[in-house]
Amino acid sequence: MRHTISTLVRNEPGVLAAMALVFQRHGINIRSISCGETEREDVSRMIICVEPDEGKITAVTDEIASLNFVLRLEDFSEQDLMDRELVMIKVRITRDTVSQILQIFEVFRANVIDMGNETISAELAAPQGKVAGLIRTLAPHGIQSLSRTGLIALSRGDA
Amino acid sequence: MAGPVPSLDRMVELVRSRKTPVRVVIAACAEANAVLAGLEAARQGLAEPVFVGDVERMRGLPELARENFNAFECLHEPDDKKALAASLDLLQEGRAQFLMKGGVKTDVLLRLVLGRKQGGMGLLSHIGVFPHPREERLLIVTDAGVNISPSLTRKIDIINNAVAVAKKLGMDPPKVAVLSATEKVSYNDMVSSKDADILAKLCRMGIFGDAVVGGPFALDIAVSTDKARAKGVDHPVAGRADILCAPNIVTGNVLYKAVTSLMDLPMAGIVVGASYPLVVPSRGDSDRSKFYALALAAYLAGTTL
Repeated sequence: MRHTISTLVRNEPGVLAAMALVFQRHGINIRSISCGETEREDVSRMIICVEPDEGKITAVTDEIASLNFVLRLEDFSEQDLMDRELVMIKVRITRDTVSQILQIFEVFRANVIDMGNETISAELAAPQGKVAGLIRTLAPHGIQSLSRTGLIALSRGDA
Repeated sequence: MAGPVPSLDRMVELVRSRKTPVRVVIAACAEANAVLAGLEAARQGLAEPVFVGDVERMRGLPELARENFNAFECLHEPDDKKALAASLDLLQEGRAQFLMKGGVKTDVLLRLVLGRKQGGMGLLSHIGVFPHPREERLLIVTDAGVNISPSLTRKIDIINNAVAVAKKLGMDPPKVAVLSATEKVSYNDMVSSKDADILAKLCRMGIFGDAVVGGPFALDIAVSTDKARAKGVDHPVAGRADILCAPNIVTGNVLYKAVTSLMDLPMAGIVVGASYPLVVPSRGDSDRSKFYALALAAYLAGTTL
């Protein structure tokens, strides 16, 4: 099962490396990680997406929560969250395929940001499922390169 | 066709010279202005009107008290939506070739047209045809009335719709200027310039057939060879544009109204993209513009490439 772990951490050197070490010790691959300052300069929000073996997640989250630089930890997996990921994607085009690719961009509401002689590039900020859908749909046309920010998320409502 | 149609009056002559007039359905006809326009179209030899709607109420309108409808087909249907549906049936059956909106809202009509999903239906878009103020030729502005903030894909459809009209008016190959505020491309700061640049690149890939699409161009570069030269823009479309493709409805509408209200030039504005032209007159259009709109629709309805 995929878990989206949101942590508020102190904005100081060594935090990212220490966090990564915990996952390494438990043998868990990090699918994506994004980190940035919050409304407080001294606090960063780190969103980590993992897909651990059953039973491993509690041990990992407990260990992370006990780290002295971690101010708060939430496992968003069971919550209703607002999530977005930004992807930039460069696809190969020909005269025969360009109209179809533009229609795919339109369906996913991806925004064209550049066009070369043989490629067209678009960006999409959307929930992860929609980003994955765009990538899957474009794959048969030949994705030349792709860059994703990793997921960012907040809980819904006032929490 | 021997060259482009040079003026709206020449277009009217071409319609009048046809042996068989096309038929225009006046949909939801209990509206005096539309009915008078339909009768005028008949008098001027542009088209034969068919009146569909609350015919009893139409006959009772004080503005129409002196009119005689005996020579025309009138289908009584007091319910506006049913009258619209009956009007579209006439078009689909080939018993009329284009439509003029009567006493219904434009969005109601367009929604119903889109709901038909008949063959040949594409994106609906507005085009306005007006005389070049300094040259003996026509210009087309699009889209001043239907698509509010078109995406790149919709702009392709809008251009294709205008290109089809331009070809019927003898502009072959049509030259399309995609408008922005400047000829400089700024992907981050000006979406219109980005879209124009991509549309021009798509043209070079051949997706617009033989039409030539250039941009981004400021309006002066699009319509004046002197201004294009002064700004160092060397492009087959610069100064010679047949079609002015606005980045959004605001720009298109301002350009449309600048032509009609500031320059007092006539404008033939219709909606295209269905398999038949739609005349949806604006309250602000002059009688002359309404007449030319009918003439343009009649011209397109009776022209095959």
